[in-house]
Amino acid sequence: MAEFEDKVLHELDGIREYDNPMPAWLMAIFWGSLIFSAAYLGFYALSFGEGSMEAEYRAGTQRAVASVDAYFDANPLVPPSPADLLAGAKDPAVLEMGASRFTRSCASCHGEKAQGLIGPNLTDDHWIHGGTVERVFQSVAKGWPAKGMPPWGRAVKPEELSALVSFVRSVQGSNPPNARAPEGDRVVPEPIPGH
Amino acid sequence: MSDTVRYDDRTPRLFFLAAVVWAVVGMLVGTLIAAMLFLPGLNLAPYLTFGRLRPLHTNAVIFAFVGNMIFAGTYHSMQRLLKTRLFSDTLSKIHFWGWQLLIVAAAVSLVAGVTQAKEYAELPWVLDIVIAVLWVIFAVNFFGTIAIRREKHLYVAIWFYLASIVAVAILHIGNSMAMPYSWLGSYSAYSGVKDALMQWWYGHNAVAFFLTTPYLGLMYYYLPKAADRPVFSYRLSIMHFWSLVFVYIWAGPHHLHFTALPEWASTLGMLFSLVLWMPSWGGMVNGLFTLRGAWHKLREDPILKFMVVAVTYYGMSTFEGPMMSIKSVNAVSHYTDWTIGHVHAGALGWNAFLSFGILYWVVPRLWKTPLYSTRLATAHFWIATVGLITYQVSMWVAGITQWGMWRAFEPDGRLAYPDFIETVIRIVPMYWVRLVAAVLFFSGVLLLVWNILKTVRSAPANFADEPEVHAPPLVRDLSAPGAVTPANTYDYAFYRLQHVLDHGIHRALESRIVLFTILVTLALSVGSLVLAIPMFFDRSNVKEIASVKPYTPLEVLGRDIYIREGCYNCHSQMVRPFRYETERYGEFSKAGEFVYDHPFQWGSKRTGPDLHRVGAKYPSLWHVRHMDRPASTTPGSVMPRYPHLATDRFDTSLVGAKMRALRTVGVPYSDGEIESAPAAIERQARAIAAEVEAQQGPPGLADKEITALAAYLQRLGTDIRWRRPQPQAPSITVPAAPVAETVTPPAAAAVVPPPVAAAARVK
Repeated sequence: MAEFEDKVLHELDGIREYDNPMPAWLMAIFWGSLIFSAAYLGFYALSFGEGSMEAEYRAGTQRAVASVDAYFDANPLVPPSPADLLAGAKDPAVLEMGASRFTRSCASCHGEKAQGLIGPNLTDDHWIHGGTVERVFQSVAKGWPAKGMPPWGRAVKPEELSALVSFVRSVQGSNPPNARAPEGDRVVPEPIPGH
Repeated sequence: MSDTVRYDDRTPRLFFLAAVVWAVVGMLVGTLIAAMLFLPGLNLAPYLTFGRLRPLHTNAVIFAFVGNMIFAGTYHSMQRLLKTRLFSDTLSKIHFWGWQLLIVAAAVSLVAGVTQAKEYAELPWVLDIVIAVLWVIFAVNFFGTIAIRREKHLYVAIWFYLASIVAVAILHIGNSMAMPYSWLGSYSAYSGVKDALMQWWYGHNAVAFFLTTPYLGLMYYYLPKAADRPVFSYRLSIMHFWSLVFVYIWAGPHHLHFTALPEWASTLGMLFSLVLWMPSWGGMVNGLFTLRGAWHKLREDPILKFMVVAVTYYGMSTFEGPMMSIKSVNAVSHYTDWTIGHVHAGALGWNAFLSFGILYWVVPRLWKTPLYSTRLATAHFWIATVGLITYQVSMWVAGITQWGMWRAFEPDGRLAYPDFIETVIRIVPMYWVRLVAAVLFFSGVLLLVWNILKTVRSAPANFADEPEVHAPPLVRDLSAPGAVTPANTYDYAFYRLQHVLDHGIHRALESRIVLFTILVTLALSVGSLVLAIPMFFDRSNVKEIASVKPYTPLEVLGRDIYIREGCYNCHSQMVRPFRYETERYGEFSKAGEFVYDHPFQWGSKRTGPDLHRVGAKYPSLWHVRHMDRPASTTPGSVMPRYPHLATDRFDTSLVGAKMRALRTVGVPYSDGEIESAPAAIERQARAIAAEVEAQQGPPGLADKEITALAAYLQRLGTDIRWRRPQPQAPSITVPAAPVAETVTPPAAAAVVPPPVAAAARVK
C-alpha cells in the first residue's frame, strides 16, 4: 500500500503511531450513511408519529382479505359424501393425512390418542353433537365456538378436513388408556364398507 | 520521587486466570443449554431449566469471562502506557476478590430463580448495588493511576477504557432503578414501554461499552505489540473513537422495531445504527491496516491468527448489525435465531478470539516463560474457527427458516404453518448443528486451558518479581505546554496556542483528563436524553387505555413465577402489527396495555410462541396439563416440564410488600386492595381450581403455584376488547340430515381488522 506515507507521529511503550489519512471508501460509507439518514428522516417526517405503522398494517390486511375473498369465489367448500368419509376410514393414505392433522390441531384438546383431555373423548360411542360422519364433519368445519371448539372449515384444507373425520371414525372403539368419561348420547357407529 | 517504577503484575495475572476459569464455566453452560433448548429431557431439575441457565450463560460470558479480561488487560496495559504502578494495591485486591465473589453470588441467585427478568441485568438489586460499588472501586483505581502517571498523553487504548468505565456506570445505574419488596426481590421503577426503552438502551450499550469499546482498547495495545507494527492511523483513532462514543448510545431502540415503542424512537434507533457502520469499521481498519507488512507472520503465529479473525469478525458483526437495524430487515430477524447467530458472531468471533490471542501473548510474558505449545494453540485456532463459522451458518439458516414459516400463507388465507410447533421441529436439525459447533468451540477452550496450565507450571521461581522501568515523574515545567501553573504573559499564551496548532487540539485534550472525561460524558448524554426525556414527559408516547387495570394479587404472584422461571427467555409478549402475527396470535400489542408491567416482559426471542394474547385462549386445564408435561398438549414440544408447579404452594407472605412496592412505582393499588389481598387471592384461586376440576382436571390446586401462574396467563392481553381472528365457519348444507345448527350462522369473528371475512360460498 504505497499510497500511505507512514510517518511515525508518536511512540509509547514501544507502540508507534502513524498518522495516515482515513481511506476514502471509509469516509464514503460515513457520508453515505449520514446522507441516507437525513433523507430517510425527511421523507418520513411528513407522515411522522403514531399511526403510520398501523395504517400500513390495516391496508395490507385489507388487500389480503380481498385476495382471500377472490380465492373462495373460485374454490367453494364442497362437503364430502358420508360414503366417501367412511371409505376414507380404511384408506391408509387418508388415515395418515388425518392422523397428522389430528396430532397438530386436535390432540391439544382431545388428547394424542383422541382419548379426551379438555375436549371430549372421540373414541367411545357417545357424542354430544351427533356421531354420524356427516355430523362430525359439521362439528369440525363449523365448530362449537361457545364451548371452545373452533371452526376448522377455513383453517384446514378441505382434503385434510375430510381425512380428519375419516381418521376419527377409524379410532372409534380403540379404547385408549386414561380415556375421558363418555359424554352425550350413544350413537351406533356407522359401518365402514368392506371392513 | 524515584525515577523508577515497579509494575503490579500480580493483579493482571489473577484477572487473566479468572477470565480463563469463567470462560470454561460460561461456555460449558452455553454448550449445555444449546442441547437443553431442543432436548427438553435434559432439563433435569427445577433449578436446572433452560429459563434459569440461559441468564447464567449470558452473565457468565459477558461479566465473568469478558469482564475479567477487561480488568486484566486494562490493569496490565495501562501501567505500561502510563509508566506507573496501579494507584492502589488494596483497591486492586478488593476489586479482584469482590468481582469473583459477585460472580459466584450471581450464579447462585440465577439458578435459584432470583432474577429481575431484564436481559443481561437479571441480578437482584442487592447485587446491583455490589456491582455499582465494585465499578466505582475500579474507576477510582483507574483514574487514580492516570493521576499519578509519568507519561503526559493518554494513548488511544486509555481513551477507550475511560469511555467504557463512564458509560457502563451510567447504563448500569440508569437501568437498574427498582423498588425492593424484600432482600432479593424488586420491581423495575419503569413500566412497560419505558422499561423496554431503558432496558434496550442498556442492553445495546452493554454490547457497545462492555463488549466493544474496552476490547477496542485491548486491540489498540495488544495487536501492535503482537504484530510489532505501528498503528495505522492516529487521526482515524480520533475520528472513530468520538463518533462511536457519540453515536452508539442512540441505537438501542433498534431492538424494539414494530413493537409498542413510539415510531420516532424506533426510527432514530435505526438511523443511528446505520451511521455506526463507519465508526465501527474505523476500528477494524485501524486493526487490519496495522498488520501491513506483517501478513507473512500470520502463517506461523497463532496469536496473530486469532487477532486477525477477531478484527475481521468485528467488522462483519458491525456490518450485520446496522443491516439488521433496518426496519424491514429487522422484521425478518427479530425473535428468530438469526439474532442469536449475530450476537455469537460478536461474542465468540470478536471477544473470545481477541481474548485467546491476548492470552497466548500475555501469559508467557507475565510468567516469564515460553508458551508450552504453539502447535496446540494453532490447533485451538482451527477448531474454534470451524466452530464459529458452523455456529453462525446454522443460526442464519434456522432464523430465515423460522421467519419464512411464521409468515407463510396459503392462497385461501390460512397460515401455512398454523401450529407454532411445526416451525420449531423444522429447525431442530440446525440446533444439532449448533450443538456440534458449541462442542467444537468449547473443546478449543479446553486446549487453551491445558496450554496455559502447562505454561504457568513451567514458570521460573522468580516469575513474580515485579518489573522495574525507568520513568521520571512528569516535570511541572512552567514553560512546558499544559503546565499547571498559569503564566500570564502573552508570550506564553502564544507559545501554547502555537503548540496546539502544531500538534492538534486533540493532542492537547489527551493530557487534560477532567475535560476529556466531561466531553465523553456529554457525548454519551445527548443520545440518552433525546430518547428518554420525551418518553418520560410526553404522555402521547404511551396512550392510556381506560380498560387496562392492574393485576390482581393472585396474578401478581403468578407473574412472579413467570419471572422466576425465566419464561421471557423463550416467549415474547409483543404481537407486532403484521398480518401473519395477528392471524396467529391476535390483535397487535398496544403501548397502553403495559402500563402496569414492572418489569416489561416483551422478550427478544421466540423459541416458543408469543404469549401476549394467550389469555382466555385455552381453558385453565390446558395450562395445568401443559405445565405438567408440555408434550401432552403440544406433541413434539421442546419446552421443559414444570410438574412441581402443581405440587408447590404459592407464597402469599410477601404479597402486601409486593403490592406496596408496585404502588410506589406507580400501580394504583388502594389500601383496601392491599389489605384484602389474601382474601382476593383465595377467591380467585378457588374459582380457577374449581374450573380445572370441572374440566376433569386434578383436584386440590387452589393453593398451588400452577393456579397463580394460570391466573396470570389467562389475564394476558385480555384488558382490551378484541376478538381472536378465527377463520369464519363455512355454512354447509347436507341434504340427508339437516341439523338446526347449520341454519344459524356462527358468531362471525368480528375482529378489528376483519379476518378472513369472505362470505361462505355454499354448494
